[in-house]
Amino acid sequence: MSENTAPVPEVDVESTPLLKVRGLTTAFKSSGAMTNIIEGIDFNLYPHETLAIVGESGCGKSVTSLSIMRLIQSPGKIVGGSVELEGTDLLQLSEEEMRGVRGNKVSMIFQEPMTSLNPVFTVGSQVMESFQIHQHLSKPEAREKTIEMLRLVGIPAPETVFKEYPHELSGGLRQRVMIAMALACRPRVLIADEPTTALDVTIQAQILRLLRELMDETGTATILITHDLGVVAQIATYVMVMYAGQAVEYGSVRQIIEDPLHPYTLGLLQCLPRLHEKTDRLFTIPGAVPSPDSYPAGCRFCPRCNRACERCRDERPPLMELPDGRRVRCWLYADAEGAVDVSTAAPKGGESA
Amino acid sequence: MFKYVVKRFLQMLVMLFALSVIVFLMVRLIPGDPVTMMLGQGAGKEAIAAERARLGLDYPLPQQYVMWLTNVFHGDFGTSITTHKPVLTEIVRRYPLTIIIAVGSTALSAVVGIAFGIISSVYHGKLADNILMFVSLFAVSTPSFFLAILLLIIFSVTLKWFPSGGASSWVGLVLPIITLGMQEVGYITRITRSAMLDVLGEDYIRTSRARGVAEHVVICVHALKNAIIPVLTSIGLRFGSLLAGATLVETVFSLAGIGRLTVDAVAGRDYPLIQGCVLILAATFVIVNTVVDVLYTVADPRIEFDS
Amino acid sequence: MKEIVQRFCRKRMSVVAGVMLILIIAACAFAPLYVHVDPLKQNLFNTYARPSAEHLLGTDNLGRDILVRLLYGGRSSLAISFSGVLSGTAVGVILGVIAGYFGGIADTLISRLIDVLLAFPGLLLAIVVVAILGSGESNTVVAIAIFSIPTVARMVRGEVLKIRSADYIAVCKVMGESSARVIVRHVIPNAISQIIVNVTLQLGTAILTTSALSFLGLGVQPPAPEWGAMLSSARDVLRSYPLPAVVPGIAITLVVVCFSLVGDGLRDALDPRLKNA
Repeated sequence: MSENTAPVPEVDVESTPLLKVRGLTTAFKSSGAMTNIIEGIDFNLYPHETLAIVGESGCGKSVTSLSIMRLIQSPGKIVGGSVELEGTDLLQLSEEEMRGVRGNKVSMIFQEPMTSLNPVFTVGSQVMESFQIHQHLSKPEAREKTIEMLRLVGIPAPETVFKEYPHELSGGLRQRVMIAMALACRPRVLIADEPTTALDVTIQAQILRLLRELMDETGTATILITHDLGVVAQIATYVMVMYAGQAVEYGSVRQIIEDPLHPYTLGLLQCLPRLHEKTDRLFTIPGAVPSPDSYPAGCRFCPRCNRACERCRDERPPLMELPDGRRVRCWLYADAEGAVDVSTAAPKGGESA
Repeated sequence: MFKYVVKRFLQMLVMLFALSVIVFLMVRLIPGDPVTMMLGQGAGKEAIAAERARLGLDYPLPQQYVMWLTNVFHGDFGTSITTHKPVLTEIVRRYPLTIIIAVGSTALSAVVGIAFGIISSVYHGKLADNILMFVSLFAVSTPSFFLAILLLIIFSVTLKWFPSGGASSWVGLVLPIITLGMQEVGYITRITRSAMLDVLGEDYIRTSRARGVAEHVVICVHALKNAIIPVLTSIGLRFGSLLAGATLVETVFSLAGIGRLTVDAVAGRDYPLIQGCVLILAATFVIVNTVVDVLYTVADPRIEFDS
Repeated sequence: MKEIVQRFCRKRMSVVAGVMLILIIAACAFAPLYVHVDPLKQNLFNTYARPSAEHLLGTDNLGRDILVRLLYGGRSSLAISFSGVLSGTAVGVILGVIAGYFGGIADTLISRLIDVLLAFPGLLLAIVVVAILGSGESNTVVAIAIFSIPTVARMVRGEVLKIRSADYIAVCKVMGESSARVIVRHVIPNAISQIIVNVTLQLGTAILTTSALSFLGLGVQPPAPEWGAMLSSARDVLRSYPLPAVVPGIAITLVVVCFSLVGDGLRDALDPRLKNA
């Protein structure tokens, strides 16, 4: 794997990537054998950018984010690749050093605000802990910073909320607390794993707006894990579509939304209900994501694909990079003009906004 | 919350009332004349007549109960047949030792059991977990009187580290407390392990790790504080069984506790003494359980009292 | 059924424990058929004999063969535990079914009764029963039975309440089946797996209680062999010769461990949902 190659020269890159993920592969041990859950994940993340990772549940989105954080629990294990944050490979750090990164340089917001806060500690003490661990602040200092942080994420009466237990707060407030906790130490990278899925629609919009404002303000780059392409269109700059543990399409949000290449991306887009179109019923992709121990021999999407051909059944499609910088893993584009097999190479940065 | 506490204490009073009825009826359930039973075959006519009058045996049963209960409330549990001393005096003399043993073994087993349980949950499915689960299986399965004898053979007879009986000093209490504590260690290890396993799978533990909290803090503070409340509750609820279980240990180590007193009273058909001991032990059990239950609901911020 | 056996066999420890338990029970139960030595026979000229070909585990303070007494003692302990737990379970099931199925006053009375029984901590309940009835083998059975009533009754009551609210019971009632029929045909079969598991686990506790009562001198009376009683009488000679105390102690522990392992295995096999409980 060529993780040390410099940014590819023909693309004008404004800055070096903050986070460079190459060939990230994580496996789970099941009945004695290791099965890859995610395989060869490559992407770059630049300051101020939001990379959305989309796909149905079971595609490996969350495993990808947990792998970046090195929070994969036994029987799972990261078996290959690199995750470089500002030039340091996180996978080579000791557990102690990694702890200094988590919640400090890279932090994470989880899907379920209801269960992601510890029920027997006050909200304040949980947010405060981040300041105490990473900035070694004294209690009063940390308390002051915490209240400031709670105010920043739009929590009314932060002094009161500070002393409350999670079960006394609404879902929206809890997610704001989670965000306050994640952004406390001004991380370089924020990973948000379905941050709005468990919330009401109106609250969802508020939380998304808040996230975007905070990102603009702090320069934090974000990896947004979601299955909701509506959310993607609102805040993402780049999109990586995952299917069955692999990236199947990668491109700018405009490219993906307006001109999807991979039949799976197309399918996901067709699943979106559109306000102004009259349809009798929602389109759904037939079938379900195969489990890692029953992947088909050829293209993993083949059994559910309406454009599958003979070749898809028998041969695994490589990840191809097209002249416009986007990537797709599908035989339909294998012979397109200028397509290069990048299955083992580093991705290009694309045109940074 | 106040309402709940009041309700719980009212339930406790009902329970204590039911207990007193059973203990009262206990003697009347024995075939034969209760007074002859209570005073023994050799009692004189005058003594029998006096006891009949004291118990009011010529009155109807409910009235007898009221009289008996009134006496109990005045601290009059009757007189022991074998020692001819007031039952209350005997109990007051013997109960503290049993409480010391029970409290000691509860404390010991709580510390060891919780530690074992945490280790077991952290190494779930690994060698350490399997060993500890095996140990706790044997701990709960070995009869305490057998364990007591084994410890006696090893530490008193062979190594001569501890006396084989009596409680002339604290040294004599070491083996009894360990014996009684061992069985508890088995239970507490299992309870702690399963509570910790539940908690360690929770989302908020992942959140703690994602914030860079050190693993020992995650386990010993963030996870344990969630798991500990049900664990402490079970420990509290088992305290009463420990009081009864102390009987066996007291027998092996020749300790003059209330358990041994009860068994001697049963063997000697000393009914007033049996009644007193049973009532005191069961009442302690019910009261401790109520207090533990109330403390549990007060301690856990997750339990709400909307209803 | 085949599936249940397969699931049980997957737990190796439980299978080993089950086989061991069957061997121990058979050895004790059929002892009179193959052992031709009287467990009470004393030989004061051959006390404290070390293990030999004649006396595989040696002899005790009165020159009685320890192995023979162990087998007969096990017979006694196991018989008391089995009859106690089985009769207690029968009563408990009946009480539980009545309370759960009919509700109302019957439920209140039975539930309170269970509460009161549970208010006597552990061994104390058994001691109270012996205090009323006196010591001896048959009274120990009663004590064990009463000891095992509350757990079963409470469990069956809960199970019946759960089943009663299920739709198919309502259907049966609509179709005009009598209450008794509904109970026999639907409620009991549904609760049976839990009852079996409970009986197995309680047998372990019953062995402990039986031997504890005998050890205290409140159960089986010497010179009759019973594991707890054997331990008790061997206590006096502990200093000089611990073997007579150690042998029955190991026997009790082993049997209790086996019952516990078999019970766990049965629970997992009969009700996979209860795993890790």
